[in-house]
Amino acid sequence: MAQEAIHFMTVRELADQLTAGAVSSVELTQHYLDRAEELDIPPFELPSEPRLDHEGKLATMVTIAREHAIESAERADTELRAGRRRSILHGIPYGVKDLLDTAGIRTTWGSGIFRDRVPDRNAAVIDSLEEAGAVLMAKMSLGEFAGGNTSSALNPWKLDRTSFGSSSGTVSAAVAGLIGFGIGTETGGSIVFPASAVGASGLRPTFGRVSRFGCMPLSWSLDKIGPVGRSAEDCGYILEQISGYDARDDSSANRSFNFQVGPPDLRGKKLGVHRPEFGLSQSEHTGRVFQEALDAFANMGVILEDISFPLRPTGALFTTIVTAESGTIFRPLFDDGRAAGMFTFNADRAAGWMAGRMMPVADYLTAQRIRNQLRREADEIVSRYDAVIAPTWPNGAALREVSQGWPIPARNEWEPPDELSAQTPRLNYIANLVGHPGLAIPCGFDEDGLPLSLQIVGSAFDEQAVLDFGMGFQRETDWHLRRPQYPWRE
Amino acid sequence: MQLDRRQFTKIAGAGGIAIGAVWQQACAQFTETGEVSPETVRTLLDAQGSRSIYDGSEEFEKLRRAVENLVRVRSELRSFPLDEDEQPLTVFRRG
Repeated sequence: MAQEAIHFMTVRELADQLTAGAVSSVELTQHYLDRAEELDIPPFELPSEPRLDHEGKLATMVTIAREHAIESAERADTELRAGRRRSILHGIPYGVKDLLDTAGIRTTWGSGIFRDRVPDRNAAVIDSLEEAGAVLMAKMSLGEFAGGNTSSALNPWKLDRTSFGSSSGTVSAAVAGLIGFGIGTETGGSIVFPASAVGASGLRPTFGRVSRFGCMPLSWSLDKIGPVGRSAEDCGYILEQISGYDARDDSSANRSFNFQVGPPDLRGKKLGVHRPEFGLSQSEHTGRVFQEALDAFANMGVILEDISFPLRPTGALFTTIVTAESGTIFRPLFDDGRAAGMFTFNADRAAGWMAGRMMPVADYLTAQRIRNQLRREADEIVSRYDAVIAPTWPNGAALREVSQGWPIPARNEWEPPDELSAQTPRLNYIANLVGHPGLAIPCGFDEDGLPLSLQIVGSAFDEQAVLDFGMGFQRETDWHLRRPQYPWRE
Repeated sequence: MQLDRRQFTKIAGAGGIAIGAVWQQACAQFTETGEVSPETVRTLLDAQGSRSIYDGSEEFEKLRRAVENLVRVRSELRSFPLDEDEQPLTVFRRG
């Protein structure tokens, strides 16, 4: 097999190149910067309302921190020449979703309201990555205030398709070879859903695993920060660097994560298959792709057992908890009128936040009581297995349309009927509500050549188990090594 | 004006009941008519303080629909059978 182009290499491959002196951090950073400037910058300013006039550019980056990146890379090279390698991420350029504060580099939260906001502090994750020697290169685009499916970033597999959201800039850039790795955030699916749409490997860590200090809050009781890469192994290396206790985040857990790279022996491991969700794929082809992925696990000696989660009002729980918490978080924007500057497509969401403030606290507490019951149920079901699995999303990425300012993911012909959707519990929403870790890995392509993905969910703080399944799968298959070709398909 | 504890409790209590009562009214209206009236939403809005961006009719209509959505969601949650011992997950910590 021909050697992978350097911009598509995994973290371990990039680290090997840097350590061997085959490339310097400055050269690598310059290469990614050149690619970003050639392939990414659209003919309009970001952050922006979703638009169609991209002229073939991906628009994954709100801000390219060229000077900062080159300075960091020079420092990394100096240390490498002196024989000091801080971590496997040393000298590798990365992008971070533009809602994590970066000292001296603007952090817009994806909103025009904060177009010129320049923090004077780093988020905890940025400090951790700096300590690890990684090179901050760009702030990645997202839907305004981490809104789902409303980002400007296009899908490199096909420019007319959505890259979902909200960490869409991070995942698209990772898959397009514009950054070495990325950092996303998730409240209800914002790492794993876009990772599914573009075929990235993305990990939602256990709630509390990664400090959220310096990150825009959307929901205090649901927000998580996690890694995005070109393999499950990438995610393990990154998580090891960014996890750990931080007294500045009240939800931070005092649990260290020491990544074991393997190779994992999966023989005899038990994987619970959330079968009802596989039924949401209405296309025969897609159903076959998912089944073949399960067969790959079986061929590795994994014991597969069908399971089903109880149907609980997860949508109502998210609506209640997120609107109440976001309504409180963003109250100052309404009190001083800045909310009028939110993008047009976000008007309904803003109204939801205001309504959330009006809701009696008893209803918020009722939601949290139901969530507590769900936590015990889900903990018990998942604990019977080494991990559980379901499609991350039942289909490939839908068409991206922009209508009256709204980026509408058009319903494709394979979408399940509403009635079937309403009656099918979704592993992703349950796992997010109860704080379980989940890894999205690509597992094939749909009829239109769009990536499909499986999500592997484990018990709280058992990221190693989900990474083991991901690494095992990626050792036996090559879906994670498929690359979108430039010029990107129209 | 300096309030003593008794006056403060009385005022705060009355306010709480009033807001709760208006929300109940919103729920009752929605059950009866499938809608929450603009007057009810305006009362809830005013109880929040500033009307902010919701003075205009177009934005206000979005808010009215958002309140209706929450009333619908609330009804789904309230009909969920919960054990009386179930506590809310107000301090969410896994570590």
